[in-house]
Amino acid sequence: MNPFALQPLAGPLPRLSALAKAIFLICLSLAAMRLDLLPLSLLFILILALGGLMGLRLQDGVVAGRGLVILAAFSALARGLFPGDGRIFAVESLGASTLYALRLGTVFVSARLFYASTRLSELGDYLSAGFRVLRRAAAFPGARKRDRPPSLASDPGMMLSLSLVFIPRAFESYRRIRESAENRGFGAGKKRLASGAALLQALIFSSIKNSLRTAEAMEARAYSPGRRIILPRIRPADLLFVAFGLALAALAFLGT
Amino acid sequence: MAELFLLQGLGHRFADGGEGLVGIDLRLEDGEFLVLSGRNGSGKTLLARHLAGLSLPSEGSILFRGKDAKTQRKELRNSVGFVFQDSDAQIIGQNVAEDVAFGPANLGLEAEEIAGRVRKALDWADLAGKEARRPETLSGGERRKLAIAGVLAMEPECLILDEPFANLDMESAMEIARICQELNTRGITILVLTHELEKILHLASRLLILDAGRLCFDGAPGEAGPELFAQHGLACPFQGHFPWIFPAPGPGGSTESGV
Repeated sequence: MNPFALQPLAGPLPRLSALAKAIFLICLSLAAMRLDLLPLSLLFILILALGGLMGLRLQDGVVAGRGLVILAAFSALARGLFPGDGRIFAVESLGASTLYALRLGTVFVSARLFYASTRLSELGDYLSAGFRVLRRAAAFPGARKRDRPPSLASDPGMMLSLSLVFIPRAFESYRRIRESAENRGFGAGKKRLASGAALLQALIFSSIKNSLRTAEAMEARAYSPGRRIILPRIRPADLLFVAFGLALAALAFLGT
Repeated sequence: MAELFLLQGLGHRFADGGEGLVGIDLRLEDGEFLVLSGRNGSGKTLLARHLAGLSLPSEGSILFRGKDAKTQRKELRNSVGFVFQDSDAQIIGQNVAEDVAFGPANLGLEAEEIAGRVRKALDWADLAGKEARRPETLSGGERRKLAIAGVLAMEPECLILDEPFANLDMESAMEIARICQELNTRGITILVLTHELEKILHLASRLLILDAGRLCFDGAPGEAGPELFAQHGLACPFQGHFPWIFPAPGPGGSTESGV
């Protein structure tokens, strides 16, 4: 599963601005960390239903769900095992562990919805635009006037979005290299460690080669780090969404 | 026809002293449909890289629209589209539409203009309706078409395709050839680098053959005979000259020659 894969989800979420969704995600995560069991359960069910309505596939969350169950079980054991009063396990500690699991689950499903409905390039554009504003603000007045050629530092967002796009491709390359090695006897002998290092070396070289090819292809398609960034217009629906997130966070903080 | 490129004594020497290209003299004109062929390692891709401004000559010069290509690299990249042999490495976007929009966005166009170009390029490449698809879910032929669409959206005057038929079945290869033909009728200069001549040569107006970095043939496809192709390690594309062809199976399913 690629956690950053954009999926063509139904509903209005993919059309909202990435910035509005990021602010909402932060507010929702803060609220989830403050809410009690009952309201948090309701919020969790609401987000699950929203994910289901938008077409988020259940099987994508199964692997991560298993991880959450393991974390919650560990939390329950750490809190409840041998409480010191002669019992083996304190059943009343399960409430706190359940709350912990629900908090993790709420943040995970919300983050999954965010990544499934947001283009990485849009996130990258916001990052680069923010970085350029900071650079301009930090520059000395004289430095601003200098006509410097754009460097990669002008576009960190492109580096971020490309890295996230290429993570699953690197996994796919590794799978191909490993399968080819297994086909030629890798893993059968005693020199598994040395062969593993050779696999890693092959992966690194193929990744570097692919990166160089991609860089050339980007150059051929007129890419420059000083590219013009067009951010999507903030619409009333985005503002409403941010307001809803802020209200949720405020309610959670005021109510506890 | 107006001159697009003029190569005069073009040479390329590698860091180890090896010669990639030697004394290439060539004139390419607007609206031509060229096929550049030659055995593996003959210098086809290297020559194309020079035309796209991705490599610089060690000797000689390249004039693009009458001006030295070294000083025209930006114009060259905006005017010459290059579809790489490994088209997967060329795909940058998370979905089809985003990838096609990458080039026009780099040209600094307005959002509406970008959307229009994306639509047009996807129509040309026969990928309309697949805008939201993730590239990894497309077939090999569709990914090749996506790479072409990504370059077409920049509205180049000249399109270079490096081994566009590699790893494609006959149907997908014919589809790519059809797109090339259609683009050429719209006035775009096409340069196809391939040794699979039987798939494209019938559409070409001019054939170039490279061998060991030297231009060995430059002329109309009809002027090249089977001996010329054999001499340069190429299969003759004319009917009846495929050396690998299997005889038709007999009534019992066995082949006449028992291959």
